[in-house]
Amino acid sequence: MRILVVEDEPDLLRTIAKALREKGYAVDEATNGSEGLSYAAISRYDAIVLDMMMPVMDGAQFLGSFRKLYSTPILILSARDTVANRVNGLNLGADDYLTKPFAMPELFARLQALIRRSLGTSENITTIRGVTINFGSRLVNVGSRSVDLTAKEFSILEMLVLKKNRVVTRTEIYEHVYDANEDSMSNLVDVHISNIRKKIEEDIIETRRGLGYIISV
Amino acid sequence: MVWDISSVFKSLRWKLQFFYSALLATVITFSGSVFYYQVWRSTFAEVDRGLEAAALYLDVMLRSFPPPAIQQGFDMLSISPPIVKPDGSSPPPPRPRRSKEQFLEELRLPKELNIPGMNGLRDQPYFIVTTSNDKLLKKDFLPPGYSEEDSLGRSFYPRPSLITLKNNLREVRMIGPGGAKIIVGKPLNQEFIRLRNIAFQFVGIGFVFLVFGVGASFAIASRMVRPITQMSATAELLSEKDLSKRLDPNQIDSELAGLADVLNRLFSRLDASFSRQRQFTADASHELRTPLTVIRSVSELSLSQPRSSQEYQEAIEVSLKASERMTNLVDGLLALARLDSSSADFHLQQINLNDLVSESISLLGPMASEKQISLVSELHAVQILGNAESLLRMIDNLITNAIIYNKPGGEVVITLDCENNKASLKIKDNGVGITEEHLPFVFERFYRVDKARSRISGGSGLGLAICKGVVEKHNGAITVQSVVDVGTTFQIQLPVWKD
Repeated sequence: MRILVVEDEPDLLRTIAKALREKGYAVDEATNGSEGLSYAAISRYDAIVLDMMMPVMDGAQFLGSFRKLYSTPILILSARDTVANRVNGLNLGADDYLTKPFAMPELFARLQALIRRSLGTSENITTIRGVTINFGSRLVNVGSRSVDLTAKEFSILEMLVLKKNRVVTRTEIYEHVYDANEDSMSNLVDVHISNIRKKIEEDIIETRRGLGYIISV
Repeated sequence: MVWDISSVFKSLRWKLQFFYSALLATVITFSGSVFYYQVWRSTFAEVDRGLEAAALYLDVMLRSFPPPAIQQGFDMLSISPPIVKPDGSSPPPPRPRRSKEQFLEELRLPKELNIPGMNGLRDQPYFIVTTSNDKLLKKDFLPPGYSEEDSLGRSFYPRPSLITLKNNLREVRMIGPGGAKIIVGKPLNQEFIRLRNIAFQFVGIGFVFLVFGVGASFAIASRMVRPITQMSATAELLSEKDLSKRLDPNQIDSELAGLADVLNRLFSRLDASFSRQRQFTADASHELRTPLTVIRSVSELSLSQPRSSQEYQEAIEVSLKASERMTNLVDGLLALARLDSSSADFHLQQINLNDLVSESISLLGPMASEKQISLVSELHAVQILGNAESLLRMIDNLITNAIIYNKPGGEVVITLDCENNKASLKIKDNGVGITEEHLPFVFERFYRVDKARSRISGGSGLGLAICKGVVEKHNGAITVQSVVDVGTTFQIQLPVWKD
C-alpha cells in the first residue's frame, strides 16, 4: 500500500514516514500542499495523510484541488481540534480527522480502515482457503501455524487479498510497495511473491502469465 | 415569588406606574372637588336668590300699607270715606278694602316664586312676619323645632341678610316697612341629600376613571419599559460563545437608540476581543501541539521495536529540539502575559538605553559573524525610564531578526539618538525585506511572514508581538518600513527620562 504524507514539520514528517514504512507501507513525503499535488500527479496512492496548516499551499487548498481529480481516501492530521475545524475538514472532502498529538497505533488503524473501505471491504480479518490474514495486527496464520512475513511481503499479500478476484499487475504491486525513495528492480516483486508462497505453503496466489497475479475466491 | 417592597421602588415600571397613578388621582380629586364646589355654590346661590326674592316680595306686599298701620299690627285698619268731587259726580266706587284677616290670608309666598322646594312636600319655605315689637303678623310652614324667640332675637338689617342656622336652615331676614321683621327661610335637607348624592357620584365616577387610568398607565408603563426589556433580553442572549447578535436601532425609540448604539459598540468590541482571544488560544494551542506531537510520535516509534543506538540518539535529538521550541513558546507566552497584566510587577528604573543596546550588540556579535553579517552601531547616550529586562529582550529580538533575515555579507545598522525629547532607536538591515501585504500584520501574535523560514530559525511567532508590547508598555511607538530585497527598518520611539 502506498501512502502520501503531506506535513510541513520536517521532524514529524520524517517520523510518520518512518513508522509507516516499518509497517510495510510505501511512503512519499511532501512538505506542503503543492508538493503533495505534484506527487499525486505522478503516483497513485491508497491513502493520504494531510496536515492542514502549511506554508505555500495549506491543507484546505490541497483538498480543493485534489478532490476534483481523485477519490483517494484522505486523513487529516491537524492541531486544530475544535468541532468546527473537524467539520470543516470533513466537508472539504477528507475522510477522517485525527488531532495532534495522536497515538501512532490509532493513525495506523484509521489508515488501515480507510484503505480497506476504499477497496470495498470492511472486515479486518479475512480467511482464504485456510489462510487467515489479519490486517490490523498484520499477522498471517495457516490453520494454527503462524507465518512470519516481512513487512513488504505482508504488504503485497494484503494488496492481493484486498483486490481479490482482480488481476494485479507487477507495476501496480511495485508502485504500491516501493516509494520514491527506493530504487529497486521490478523483478523483486516476483521474488517477494515466491517467498510468500514458500512461507504460506498454501498456493492461494495464482500467476496470470503476462498480466500479473490474482487471488481468486 | 417573594414580594419585596424595595424591589417595587427599584423597578422603573412600578415607579412610572406609581407616579402616573398618583398624578391621576390628584387630578381627579382636584377637578372633582372644584366641580363639586361649583355645584354646591350654585345650589346655595339658587336657594339664596329665591329666599331674597321671597323676602322682598313680602316687603313689597307690606308696603301697600302705611307704616303706622303695620306698626300697630293693622289694628287701626278701617275703611276710609268715599271722596266726593266738586262737580257732584262721584268717582267710581273704590275697591273694597280688604279686611285684616283678608290681607293676612293673602300674605303668603306665591307659587311663582322660584325657590327650590317651593312646590314640593318637603323642605317647604317658611316665613315669619312680625311688627317691629315682635307682634306676630303671620307665620307659615315653620319646620318642627323652630324657635321663633331665638330667631326674632337676632339682628335685622334694612337689606336682606342671609344666615345659616342649625338643622340645615337657611334664612333671609330684613326689616320691612314700619319696622316689620320679615324672615323667610327654608330647610336645606333635600339640597344636602342631593349634594351628597352628587358627591357619591363624583367619587364613583372618579374611582372608575382612576381604575381605567391606572390600567392605562400600566399599559403605558409596560409599553415604555418594553424596549428596555427587549434590550436586556437581547443582551442576555449574548454570551461568550455567541456575540454575533445586535440590537436593531430601527426598532428602538430614539431616546433609547443611543443606549442601543453604545451597547452594540460594546458588543462589537467584546466580540472582537473574544475572537482575538480565541484565535490567540487556538494559535498558542496549535503551536504547542506541533512539537508535542513530534515528541510523542518519535517516542512511540522508537519504542515500537528495538533500535540501534544511533536511531535512539536521533530520536532524542528530535525530542530535544521540539522541547526547546516549546520552551521558547512558553517563554514568549509568559512574556506576553506579563505585558498584558497590570503594571504592578513591571519595575521601572532609570536606564542608559545606549548601554542596553551595546550589551545586546556584543552578545549577538558571534551570531552575526557566523552568518557573515556586520553589525554597525552609532549610539548616543540616552536615558529613559524603563524595565531593563524587557527592553533587552526587545532589542535582542529585533537585532536577531535583522541578522537572520539578512543576506550573507549583509549589514545591520543600529542607531540611537534623541529627537524631540524622544529616544529614537533604529535597526536597519539590508536583507530580504517584507512584502507590502504582510507589513500591517507583522506585529500580530503568531503572524508569520514566512512560516517555513521562521521554523528553521526557531521563531515562536511571538517575537514582534512581544516587542510591540514592550514598547507600548513604555508609552512608546514602534514602526516598520520595508522594501523587498532592499531591507527592513524598525524604528522605536520612547519618552526620554527627565529629572
